[in-house]
Amino acid sequence: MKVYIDLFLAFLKMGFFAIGGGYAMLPLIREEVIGHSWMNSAELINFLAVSESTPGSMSVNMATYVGLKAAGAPGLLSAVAGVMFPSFAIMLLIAINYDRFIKNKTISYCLEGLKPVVVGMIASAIISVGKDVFFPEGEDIVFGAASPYISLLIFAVCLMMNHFKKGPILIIAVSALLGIFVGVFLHR
Amino acid sequence: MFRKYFNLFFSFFKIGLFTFGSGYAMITLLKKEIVEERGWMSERNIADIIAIAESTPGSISVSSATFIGYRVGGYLGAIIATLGIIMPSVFIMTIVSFFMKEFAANVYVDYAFAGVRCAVLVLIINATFILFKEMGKYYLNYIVMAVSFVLLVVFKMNVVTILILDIIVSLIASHYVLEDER
Repeated sequence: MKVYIDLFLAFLKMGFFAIGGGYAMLPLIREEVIGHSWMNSAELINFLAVSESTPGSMSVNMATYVGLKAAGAPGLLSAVAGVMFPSFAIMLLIAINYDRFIKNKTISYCLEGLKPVVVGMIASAIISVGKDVFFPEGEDIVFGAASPYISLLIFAVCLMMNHFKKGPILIIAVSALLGIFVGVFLHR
Repeated sequence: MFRKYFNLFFSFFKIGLFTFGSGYAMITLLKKEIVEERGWMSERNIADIIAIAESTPGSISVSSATFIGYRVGGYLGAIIATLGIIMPSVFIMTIVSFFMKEFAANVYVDYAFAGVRCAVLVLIINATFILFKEMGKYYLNYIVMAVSFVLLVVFKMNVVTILILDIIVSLIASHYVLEDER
């Protein structure tokens, strides 16, 4: 029973402090997950690489994996419930009171004031993701020396599809297939 | 009645299944699915939701599911949408956890994801335009946008610090604006 409570509380903490994207909570993840010996440092690095290539937010992926590994299916449920609870409760409260909130001038002004920061944040993600795509390092160099050019090619195809209003799901599917196609072709 | 909850679950399941990388790429999916296909929200609502989700705990994908779920279908809607968005990653991660080593060493996964990263970049660029469109076009906003970009990219400043600084700036600015209105 204790392991379930430990999992719930550790992930509750991670869920609560996960503000502004998954990687901001890495130090806390390290402390909790390695501290409880649910994973060692090498496993954590391995996990992060795998988590990147599976869908969903890193926090939910982490809760699923660690919970399952530490205490099976009930462990998974405790960890996922813990990591979800803070955002679920807070967003529910905000959603319930939304109409009242936006009538408050100060709150609605702050909300408007957050928008430029969010645009700045997303624009900064263009830089960091762009760096990984066009100037890959280490394990990200999937297609050898040709990696940047192949990325540019796939990027151009995705950009065209986006320009012609193709849906994001189709764009992702095509990009994955192109990646596999080029990889198989190059390493034949 | 039943149909609405089914649609909520299905829409968010779809979004959860295709949310790769950071949640930012998801904004494009959200716009397509929630605004264009279902008409549950406007683009302006989406911009509000992302701003709220970004400044509260939790990933923006899960937070926006809870919010939109409640607005569309009350408490049950919030639960169903939230479960919908996390279900794909919980399922896939569970399966992957049994083959962790094989998955990490699989070249096809590497190839596919190298491709997907290019798509994610396009979706993030798209998301930037969507949210830029909904941003108020004032000088102060352009300055805040540029400053937060520089603080993040050049100075690698913590997101929470930037959010707190921004709220202080907004409070001071709103004080003057509201004073002017009186």
